[in-house]
Amino acid sequence: MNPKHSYAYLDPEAKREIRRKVLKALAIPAYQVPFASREMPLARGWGTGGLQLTLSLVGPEDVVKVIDQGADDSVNAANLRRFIAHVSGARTTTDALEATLIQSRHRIPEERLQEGQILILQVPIPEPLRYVEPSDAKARELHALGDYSLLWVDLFEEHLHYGHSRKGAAYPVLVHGRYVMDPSPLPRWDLPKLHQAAHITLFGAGREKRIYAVPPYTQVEPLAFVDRPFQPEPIVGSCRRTGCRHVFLNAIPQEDGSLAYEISDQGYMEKLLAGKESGPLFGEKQHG
Amino acid sequence: MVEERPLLELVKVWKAYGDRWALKNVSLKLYPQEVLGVVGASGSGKSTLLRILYLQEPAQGEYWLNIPGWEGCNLLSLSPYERPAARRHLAMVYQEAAQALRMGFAALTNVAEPLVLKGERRFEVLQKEAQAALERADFPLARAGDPPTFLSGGERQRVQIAKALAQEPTAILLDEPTTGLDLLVQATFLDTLRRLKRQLGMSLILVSHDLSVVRALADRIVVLHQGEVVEEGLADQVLEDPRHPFTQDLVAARL
Amino acid sequence: MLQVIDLEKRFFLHRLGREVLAFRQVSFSLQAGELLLLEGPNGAGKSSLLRTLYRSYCPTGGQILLQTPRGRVDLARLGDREILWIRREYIGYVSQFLDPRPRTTALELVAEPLLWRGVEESRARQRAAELLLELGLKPELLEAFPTGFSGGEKQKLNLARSLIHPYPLLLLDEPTASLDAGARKALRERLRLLKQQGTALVGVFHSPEDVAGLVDKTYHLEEKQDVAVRT
Repeated sequence: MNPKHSYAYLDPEAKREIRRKVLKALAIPAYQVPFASREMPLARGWGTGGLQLTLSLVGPEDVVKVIDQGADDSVNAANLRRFIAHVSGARTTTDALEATLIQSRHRIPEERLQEGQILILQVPIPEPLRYVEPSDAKARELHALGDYSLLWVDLFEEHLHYGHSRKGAAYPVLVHGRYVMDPSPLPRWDLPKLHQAAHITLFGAGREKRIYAVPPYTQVEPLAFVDRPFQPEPIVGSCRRTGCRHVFLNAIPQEDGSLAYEISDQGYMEKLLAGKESGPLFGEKQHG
Repeated sequence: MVEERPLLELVKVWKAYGDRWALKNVSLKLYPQEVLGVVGASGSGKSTLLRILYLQEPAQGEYWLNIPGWEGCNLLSLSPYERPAARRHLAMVYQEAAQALRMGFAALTNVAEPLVLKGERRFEVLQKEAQAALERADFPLARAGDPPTFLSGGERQRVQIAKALAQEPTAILLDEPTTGLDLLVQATFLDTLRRLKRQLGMSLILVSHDLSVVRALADRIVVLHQGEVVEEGLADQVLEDPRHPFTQDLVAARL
Repeated sequence: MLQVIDLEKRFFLHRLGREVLAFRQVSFSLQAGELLLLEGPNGAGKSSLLRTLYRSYCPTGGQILLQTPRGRVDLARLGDREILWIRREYIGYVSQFLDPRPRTTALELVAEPLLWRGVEESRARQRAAELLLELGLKPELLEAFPTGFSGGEKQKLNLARSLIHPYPLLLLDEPTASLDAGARKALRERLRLLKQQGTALVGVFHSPEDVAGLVDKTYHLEEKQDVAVRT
């Protein structure tokens, strides 16, 4: 640890403010809490929001996993992990079940997370109404009134013209029956993992200066018409290294123009390849 | 002789902008299944009156809706957060369709919106009921997927009407709905409104500076002049036997 | 069933500073099944009297007493909502003017008053067709839009619309204008039938033959004199 910096890089006031905002966010599921987003030693748009959340919550006893699109070894994830370890002294891991804090861009691990684990997602645009209501002031009013008619109108239009919703990621969800949130650009596959989860999910948007949260065992329902239910992506193909077809796969274009597939959650794939036992998956039925 | 309660009532409403009074001591009643026309020159306050009726602007006085759940509640005393609930029972049709419709979304989508707001979550039902409302408004169904930007003026007004019908409001407010439409389009649109009035027993408040439009639809007329009600009565009586000097001027000015 | 006492209508034209008298001191009574013919020179106020009975004009003096199942009412003093109800149930009015309705067929126009009363649609259309054909409208025009009709055809439409529902009191203002002889005869028969059914009628007719044998009473309006010129 570098004695020139405060513990975990952020000064105590910053950590205090962010923790208070996190508590408020947990108390009001999916409500966007503004916070004074600090300058981080990486550019905006690269996860500064998620990073500030992790740094405010991390302690020397924590075990930290960082992924980017499911991969622990992408440049972005590797940089963030090294930095967090350096300023906090926490241990790092690629095992989702071993981690106490998981910072992630665009994916939720496949193995079911437990109580006591915190998932921190990096969010570019926290406002689910942004694309249908450009004015932020009006959007805030709509949230206050619980008026999400614009989103339903948008959904109706999609079904009218295409027969289904064309949103691949960032599909709006209604949390705790009250606020609609942007679940960050997670693929649809990951959304059911948020519903009635045992773990805490936090969302940080550094450039937009917003924090929001889904506390454990909370309703998270994608907006959908009752007779046109929400569908996650169908899994096409199978992983070229494990043969799996029951978890989310990355499509990798080959030189000859065809597509090869690999499990997106690298930590999970490593366990399968090493023959190690993995935990129950989110997708499997809950026991008990 | 005929015992009936008004559906909607304004009592002694005053509205000022700064030190200028736009409405002075205005009272009116709308009865079930009637069309009330509001006429007057520009600046008479009729547009302000409609905005107040639609709860878009505050005013002093009383505004009562005599429907279950709203008795005894003065709508003018509602906070901005309570107004949307009251507005569910009122629909507004504007002169400019762009004020009511989402111009980039299909006509059908626009009409489905109030149904979604009422709580309907089945796509098939939304589609069917929105289509039915468009049909009732004599809108050509082949164009139901087109956004209003690509529709003619008359078609846009029909989409507004369909949207209002889908809402099933207590009263529909119309602000110069035919102004700007050419005469034949106007006549067919009025025809639709008349038919709907008969078939559905709608209660309407119609503001128009065009007396022939008012004559075609209204049962009773209220005449506004400089913010005050100067005359009211049966539609044909106000237009054929006007008694207030301003009403006489207004009627005499008909081409 | 109808008693008019000292009825008067004056107009006050503010911009001109003038008071115009339409008629004054009009009194008559009418029983069910009787036809009252209004006569007098042009400008004597016959149309104005009819319009006053219908409450399109507000009388400035006198009473219009109408016997209804709910009791006797004075139309001169009733409120607007009550007048609307009376017009729907009690008093019909036939004039020469037809609202332009580009998208409503002749048949629909005539069926409308029945549909307002909840008569079932096919029955209403049937009765409307019968009446229109009786008045001599060509069958092919039944489903046509009236905008292209001749004056006589429009008038048949007018009449049919006012006659289709048997009002207890019917007011007629020159109903035979622009009608051919056949239609005038058909109208006379209809009026006879209505009288038999108990309808009371007050009318202004272009020529006496139109109501030959049907007139029970006559009221003659004198040429009016302007009462006063206000400055």
